[in-house]
Amino acid sequence: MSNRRTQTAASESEGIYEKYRMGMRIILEGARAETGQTPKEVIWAKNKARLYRYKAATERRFPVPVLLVYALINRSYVLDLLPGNSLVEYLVGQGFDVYLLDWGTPGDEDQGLTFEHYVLDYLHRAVSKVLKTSRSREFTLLGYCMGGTISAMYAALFPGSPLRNLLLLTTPIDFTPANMGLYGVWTSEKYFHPDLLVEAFGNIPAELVDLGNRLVKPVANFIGSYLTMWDYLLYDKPMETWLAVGKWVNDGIPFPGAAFRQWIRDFYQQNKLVRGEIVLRGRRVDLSQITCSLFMAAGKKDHICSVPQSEALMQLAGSQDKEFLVLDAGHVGLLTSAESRKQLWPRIRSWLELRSQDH
Amino acid sequence: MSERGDASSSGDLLELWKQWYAASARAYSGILESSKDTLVDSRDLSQLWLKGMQAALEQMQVGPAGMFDAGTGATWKRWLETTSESWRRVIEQGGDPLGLALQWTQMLETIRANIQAGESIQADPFALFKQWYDATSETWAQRVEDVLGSEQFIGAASRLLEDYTGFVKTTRRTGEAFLNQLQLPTRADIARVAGLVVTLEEKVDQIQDEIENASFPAEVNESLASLDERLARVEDAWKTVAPVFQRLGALEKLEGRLDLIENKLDSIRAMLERAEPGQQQSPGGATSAGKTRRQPRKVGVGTSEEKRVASRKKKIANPRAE
Repeated sequence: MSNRRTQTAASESEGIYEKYRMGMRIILEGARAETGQTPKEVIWAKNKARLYRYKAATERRFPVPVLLVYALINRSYVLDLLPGNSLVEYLVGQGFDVYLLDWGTPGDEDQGLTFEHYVLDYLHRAVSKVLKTSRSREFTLLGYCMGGTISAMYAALFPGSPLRNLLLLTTPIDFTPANMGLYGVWTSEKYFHPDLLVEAFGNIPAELVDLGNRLVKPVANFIGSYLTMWDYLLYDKPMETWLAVGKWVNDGIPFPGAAFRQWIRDFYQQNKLVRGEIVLRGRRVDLSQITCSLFMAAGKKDHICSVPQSEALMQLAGSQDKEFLVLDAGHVGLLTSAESRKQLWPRIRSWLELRSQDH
Repeated sequence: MSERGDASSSGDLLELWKQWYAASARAYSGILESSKDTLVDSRDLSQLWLKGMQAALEQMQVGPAGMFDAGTGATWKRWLETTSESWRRVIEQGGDPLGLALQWTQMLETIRANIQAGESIQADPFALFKQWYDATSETWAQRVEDVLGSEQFIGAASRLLEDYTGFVKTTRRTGEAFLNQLQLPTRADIARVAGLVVTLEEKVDQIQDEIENASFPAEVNESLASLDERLARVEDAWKTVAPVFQRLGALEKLEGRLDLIENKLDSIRAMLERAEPGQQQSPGGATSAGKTRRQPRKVGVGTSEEKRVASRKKKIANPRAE
């Protein structure tokens, strides 16, 4: 073979070897990405929770601030994933005053935290801080997944002012087993006893929760996602979003034991929320008390929170002004996919624009 | 490599394949013979499989290219037909208690249809695997999810979870007891201390909350409100007066400069008077020529510049007073 062909073959081999090395590194060490880059400052802290206010990139056009609330079992930076792929960055750029309540990582001393604490102590206090900092008399609450369930309970317990708008994205409300797929079967009272896990672990390890989520779609999660990774690597396709989402998926946080017990028993097994039987510190959560403007979105391909699970609130809430949007996306794709950036984000902006001015 | 080398290596490969095939066929037949009374009679299906493999071997003997001709897929087709036929016979004879054979058969039919409808088989192994995955993943996923959702699986998983959590509890208890024996702090101890800190922080938070939301008697609120109004009026008044003061500030500077010039004139005059002894000086420093000193205008409480100027004038006027 000529020298030129040898060199070409050598450089191709080296290129393939480098890609193979990168792929193996991702598999063994985990995906890495610079996430949560929108500038922010801490305006309040309680235990492990932090309330962030995002710094304005442009002039704030809307006096009504937006408070984002995420789930207890994942990191909240999925809402601010990457520059150019961040709901937070988008809302800040549109002129909204954006806040985020990050629950933090619970320690062993937080095993006893329940939804009473999260709704009535953490979230309620965070709301007062948001109002004081923004000097506004009203606010918008945006909840995602379990954060949406927490937000819905807050809205039911504190209807009316100062809560002006409620946005819930891929939020489970109705836990009827038929709507839950494999989750409905796995969490049945006959086979699943949350007390066993709580007594053994205290806080439920993030790896255990993650395993349960992955087993809902095992072929896609254990084989398909890595096949996609190799496809991106070997054919030089952009993979920043894949890396960021991969990092987030593997970056779960423990589920406080008492809250986990409540979540499984009261929500998944007994479906108390839709029946109005959830009681937080003596106060009954009645979803019909939600009267503020309501916007909900769900994904057709979401196997963690199906569309019927979310849509149930449309019938239960007492709001006159409400809208339900279904996207062709999965649970995480509802936030990070191109479809979401084209459809959902602009819809959120236009919906909020009309409802975020002073009365 | 030379053609001779290629032929000998392909011949070795074929020879190897033939030996493997013969040995496997003998072994498989032996197993079936020994177990024909206990297992489902799979002689027919095994014969079918062996025939299929024989046909594949014959095709290989045509040449290695015949085996891996990406354009025809005939070998794949024969393999799929043979295998699916085998499993179909198993199902018919009742040898499928878990229903897996039926699922395998359906999956193979789907694979065959997908591959026949799609492109030819890829030479790139990754692309080939991806093509196979895209063609079969939905079927695989559905089968796996059916198993994961079955009562047998859930029951087994529940028992496994029970045993595992029991093991974890025992391990943690043993570990804590061991650490206690060694007089070392455990996670529970650290958690207790952290809990105390969290409780303390909660109290501070409540105090802060009370202070922020504190409500005063109505009279106090009214006084505060009126004070607010008065302060607002004072602020408005100051906004009106501030430019005037700024102008006064400029005037003060002019005053200061004039005073400096006066001082210089005074010192010049003093020098002239010393040079002309006939002229008398008045105690106030005014000359007999009757020039009067300009009195500094008193503004407010007096700036430091004014004080300095006044002090110098005093010194000049009464040098013997020091």
